[in-house]
Amino acid sequence: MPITWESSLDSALAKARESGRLAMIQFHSPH
Amino acid sequence: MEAVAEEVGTNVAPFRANVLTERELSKRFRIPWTPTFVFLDGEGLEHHRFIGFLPPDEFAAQIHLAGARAAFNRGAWEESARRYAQIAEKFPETDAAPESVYWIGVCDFKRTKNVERIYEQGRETAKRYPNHIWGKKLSFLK
Repeated sequence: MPITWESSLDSALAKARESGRLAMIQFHSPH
Repeated sequence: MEAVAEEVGTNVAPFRANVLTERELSKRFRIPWTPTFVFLDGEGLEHHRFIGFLPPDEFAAQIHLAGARAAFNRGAWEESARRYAQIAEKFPETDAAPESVYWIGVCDFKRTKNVERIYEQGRETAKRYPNHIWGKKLSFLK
């Protein structure tokens, strides 16, 4: 099962509000 | 990785932010290094973060720790205690377990005002995890 990433922080926060879960941001840098 | 994906999918709404292109967001959250994982409630309030990659079980435990802390921060003492107890039971070998054992006592104190519950859980933490930072913090209770 691959991780389904939200397309934006706003989208992740909206999903968090809908579901009662937390939003998680992974800050990364491409190498 | 399958287990991590399942933990993420079940417990959080994830978003990846590239620090090179999401400069404003990185600045807003004061990201010093990558990867940094930040956990927010639906209102955008931060409840937990950690820096660096972790093995699957440690990563999963940190996700649950974020949930327990968020419940604590909104005063849901019973829910928070339950979540901490689940971490201690499900991820006993992780770095999240010792502090979870302690915070169960704090949640119980918040709910009942029985300060002895803090000491009981503190002593338990120090006894079970003497070499962990939380065991050391609470070693004065032994």
